[in-house]
Amino acid sequence: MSELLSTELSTGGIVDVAPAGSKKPPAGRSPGQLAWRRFRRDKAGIISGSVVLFFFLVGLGAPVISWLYGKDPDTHYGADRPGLLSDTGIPLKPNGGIDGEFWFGLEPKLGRDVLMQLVYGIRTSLLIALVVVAIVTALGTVIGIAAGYLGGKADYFIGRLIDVLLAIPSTLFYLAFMPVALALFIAPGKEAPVWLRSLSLVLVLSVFGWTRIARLLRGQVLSLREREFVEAARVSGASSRRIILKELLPNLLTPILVVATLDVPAMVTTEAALSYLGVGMVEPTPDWGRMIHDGGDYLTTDITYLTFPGIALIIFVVAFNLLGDSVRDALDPKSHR
Amino acid sequence: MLAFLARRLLGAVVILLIISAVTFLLFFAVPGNEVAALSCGKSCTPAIMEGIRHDLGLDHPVWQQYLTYLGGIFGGRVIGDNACNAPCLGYSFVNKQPVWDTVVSRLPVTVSLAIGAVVLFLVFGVGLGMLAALRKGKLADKISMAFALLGGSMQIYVMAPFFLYIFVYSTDLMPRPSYTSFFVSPLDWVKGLILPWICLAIIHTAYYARLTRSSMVDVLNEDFIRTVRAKGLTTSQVYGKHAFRGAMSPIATILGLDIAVLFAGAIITEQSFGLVGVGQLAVNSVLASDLPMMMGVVLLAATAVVVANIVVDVVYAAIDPRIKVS
Amino acid sequence: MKPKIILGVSTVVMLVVAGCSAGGQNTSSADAPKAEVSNVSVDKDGSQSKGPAAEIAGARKGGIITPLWRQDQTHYDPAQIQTSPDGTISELLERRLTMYKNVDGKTVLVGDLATNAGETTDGGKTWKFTLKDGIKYADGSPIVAADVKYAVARSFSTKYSRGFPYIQTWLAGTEEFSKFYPGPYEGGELSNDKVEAPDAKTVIFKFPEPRTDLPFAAALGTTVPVPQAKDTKEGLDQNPITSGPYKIASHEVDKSLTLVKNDQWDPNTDSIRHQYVDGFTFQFGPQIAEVTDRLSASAGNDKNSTSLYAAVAPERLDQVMNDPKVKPQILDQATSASEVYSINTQRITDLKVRKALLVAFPKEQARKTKGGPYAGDFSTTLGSPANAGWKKYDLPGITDVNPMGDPEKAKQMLTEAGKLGQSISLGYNQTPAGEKEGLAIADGLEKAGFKVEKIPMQPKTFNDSRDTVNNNLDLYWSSWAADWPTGVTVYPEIYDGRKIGDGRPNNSHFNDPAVNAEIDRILKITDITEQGAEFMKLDQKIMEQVPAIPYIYTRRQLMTGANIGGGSVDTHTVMNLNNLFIKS
Repeated sequence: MSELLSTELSTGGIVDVAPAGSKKPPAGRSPGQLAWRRFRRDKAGIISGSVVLFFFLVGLGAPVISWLYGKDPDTHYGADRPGLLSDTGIPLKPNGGIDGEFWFGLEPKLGRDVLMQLVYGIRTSLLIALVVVAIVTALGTVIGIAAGYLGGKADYFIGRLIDVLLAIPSTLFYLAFMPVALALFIAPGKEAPVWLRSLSLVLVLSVFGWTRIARLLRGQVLSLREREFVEAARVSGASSRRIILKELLPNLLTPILVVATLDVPAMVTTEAALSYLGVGMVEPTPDWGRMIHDGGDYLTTDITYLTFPGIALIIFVVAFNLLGDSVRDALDPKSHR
Repeated sequence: MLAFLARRLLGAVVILLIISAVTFLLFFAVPGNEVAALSCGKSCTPAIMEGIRHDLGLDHPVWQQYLTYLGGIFGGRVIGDNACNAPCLGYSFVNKQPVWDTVVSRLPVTVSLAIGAVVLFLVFGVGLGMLAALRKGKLADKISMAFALLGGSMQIYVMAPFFLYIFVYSTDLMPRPSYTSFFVSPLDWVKGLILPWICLAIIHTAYYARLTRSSMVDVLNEDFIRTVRAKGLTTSQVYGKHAFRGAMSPIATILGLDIAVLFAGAIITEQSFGLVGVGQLAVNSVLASDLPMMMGVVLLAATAVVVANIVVDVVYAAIDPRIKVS
Repeated sequence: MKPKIILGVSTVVMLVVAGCSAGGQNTSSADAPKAEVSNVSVDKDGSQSKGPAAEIAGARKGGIITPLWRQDQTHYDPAQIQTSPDGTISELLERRLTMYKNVDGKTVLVGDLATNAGETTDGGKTWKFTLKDGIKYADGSPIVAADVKYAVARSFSTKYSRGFPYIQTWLAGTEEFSKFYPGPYEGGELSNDKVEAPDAKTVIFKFPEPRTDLPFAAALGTTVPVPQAKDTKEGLDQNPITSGPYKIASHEVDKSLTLVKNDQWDPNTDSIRHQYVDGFTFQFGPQIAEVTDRLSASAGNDKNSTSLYAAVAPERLDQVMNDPKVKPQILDQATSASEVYSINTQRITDLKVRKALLVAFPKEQARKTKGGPYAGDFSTTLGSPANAGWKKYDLPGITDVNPMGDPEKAKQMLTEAGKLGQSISLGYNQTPAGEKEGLAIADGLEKAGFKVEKIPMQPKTFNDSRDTVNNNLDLYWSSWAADWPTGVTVYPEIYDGRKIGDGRPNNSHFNDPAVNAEIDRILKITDITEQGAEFMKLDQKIMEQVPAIPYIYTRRQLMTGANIGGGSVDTHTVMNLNNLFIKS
């Protein structure tokens, strides 16, 4: 998913002016507080933010949900208990076996609980995506600022590195290098522990994912570098480190935050896509993307198996995109709407 | 201009060399015995394995293998008992055919997928974006952008099964997606690919709609539009001739760069619809550990992207002399 | 506003879609095919070998059939073919000394190029075949006995010995037959002491030991005649020399194979094949789910298509078997394959642990991931009922285990053996289906107190990795279908302890000298019925040691398009191409 990144930076804060005749003195607000106020007034932003928060709570609170609901994602309810699945593994009750005990129905063949699979699948995909976004944001920020600030040779080489990475279409890159990453860590014939597999996945996704933010920040730093306040800081003897941390970084927070917000759904869908293709997380780790893939086989016999994870993913992405828009508007009202 | 072109070409070659080297190194991180074993087949004996290792040149040092590989790309080489004509990207472990031949035979499917999708999403994306820009703030704008948001959030592998269910399996409205060559029957070509085209278009339309809209809004606010209007041109002339042209240049840029995105999307699209193109070839070769095929596909995809980028740069520079060409 | 609309729409969609799916249905066992107890007969007197083949009711001529299969043949040279469905296509294209004919549900081994299924007067040491009159190659030249001898000689060469090794091994008296005679390229002509072609119509095989099963072995690709002058060596693997009712018109590797009528084929010499359709166009590539979907829909040209070897996808079974429109297109057949889960007896040496594995094994749950009863009946013996002389036996504690697995009992057995928590490395095929099967099995075993480590194996190299001696695994799937329906190609291959090695089928590494001696003794018995009965007793004796967990007698569902008639399943459980026609 490509992105629109045409934001201009906003400057400083605004002083709120009290209506004439009131007794309260004018209160100053920091840019952060103003952004938050703007965000609060954006209804779409609040709703989408709540939806996103809901997903995070579901994913992170999966064990709690499991405890409350009384089921877990690994037990083969349908296979062990006769009468739930037909001989060929399809849930006997209509709509995929939805009933009072299995709220979202049963998985064909093995008979695991769909609600639990989905909740834990969301958890897997979210956790991996969050880790990757944290890494690429940090990495991309460092590299982008270095390229923009240092310029010259460093900039040139980083630019070429980015060109090389971007020359390979991303999905193909992940597809091709996942088995390599796995082979590096695991001896053939051994079972790959889950943490090792997720580590490889995070590694591969991170190697590629930092380029967008690096490029963006490079551009921003290049233009900021020539601005007066940076000149002023330099003239007054500030070290490079101080300039970067105190002058540049605060002004870069907006694009960093916007890109990070939009990176999360991108990473979730990328991880889901990889699992769909078969190179992401494998059984028995529940996974959002793999569930959708498996669901495609049961279109005519058990369509709810596909519907729940599929619709959930769409809602998640829509909400996150809306949130990203609202965040951008809140931070930088000069951008077009 | 020529200097610019030369520099870009040189840069492209360097990039491709780096990619080929990295790909080569990483894939051969898998131990050599594994490689031979994968190619061996059913009745494998140590003697046959040794033969395969020798044929593939696995008993040479890595740098030498790399150079042989590169040489093969330009001049062809001999692997075992078989001659592999230029460009030789090796022999597939799975079907024992030259990688190049297999990729080329699958290419028409992927290209057809891309062409149809591009036409659809350009037409609808730009159209929707223009509509939104012209009716800015009104209901049409809101609905267009809502559709853009929803469409852009779709995932092909979620949409595909639903579309298949609704249009193919339960109602028979459309035939199952399949590829018929355009030169054999244009009608069947369209009928077989229309469903994947629509899915791809829905997803990409969003991006182009938003881009067109913001680009159009920018252009419409510019001074030269006011001038042109003051000169007395009609509304359609204003929009059609002047605004449109101004708005298109960022779109042209993005389209060129989108080649990489389209190819990445092709992998998932082909898997979701069961089409046999280069994307599906990539997936199958990964799952089968067909190393030469994987390397071949990666290299060819990278080449396509690099070439597309150069073409876009050149065209852009040719059209707009304001752009610095260094 | 926007998100509300979107949320609302998606909820509605979800509810609508959810309301549209009915539940699953259980299978009715009424029309399940029984695992066929062997009913193969041999046409000794040639009465069934005379052409032409009996007409199929309703058959009409014309049209083109499109068989679908996921991959191209691995070999086109009949001497190098070992796998299904390669053998079936080869049997359509190339005639050989003997072949199987399906008549009214019975299978008869008849003479194909020969007038009968072979004659022996000395108890099986010497076999004589007389070639029919009027048999020709696709180019019109006549087929002579010397060509059959040359073909057999050629299969001794190491380069072309990737096919079945039976005839060569029996002639040479050793498995290293290439050392005995390196083939015609290096060793001159094969000696007349082994194979003789005294005239253009007679082929005589001379074996050091009696080989009562030679008629069956003669149906394999080794006896497809090759004229020495036309031997293009490697070329035969792309352009074999054919003699059947169809010949190769074009071949696009991995994509398609087009067959057209061979006008040199004389139906009066062939009691097995028909030439109803004008040709076949094989399409390689579609996976089983796609084949099932296309044939179920039978839209456009797909109504003239057929599955070649792809069974109905397990996920579609519920839908397809309960759809009255599609059901008639399905051929539901028991096969001659028997599936087991082999236990690595070199690593799991304690018989009590193996018995506990047997008791704990969740056959029902594992089979449900493969299609439930459609995948086949649960087996209790190592060999398949399709082998001559098969009889069910009872071994208390072994053949009467609960198909759902009995975790409590198994846990008890393990504890008594002091092996609670025994680690089991379960090797599974890393495909979506294989993963689910592995999960089901691991789940059952862990409930019984085993500690299971699931080891994923690459599908492409699964057999090779499994069949290495040091495979580092304890439990893995294994399937065996006899190359012909007697125990001769089963027990001596899979349970002879002297045949343990890399790439060999004894992957349980079972080695019992008493059993080895029994195998030798039984192989010498010349009466097929008696031999069959003795093999069954051997099956029971081996089973007492539990070297493997009997799993399923494989059953297979093949599909044709809606417009195809004459569909039947051949002895390799592949779609029988010989009787197919287009209905309208």
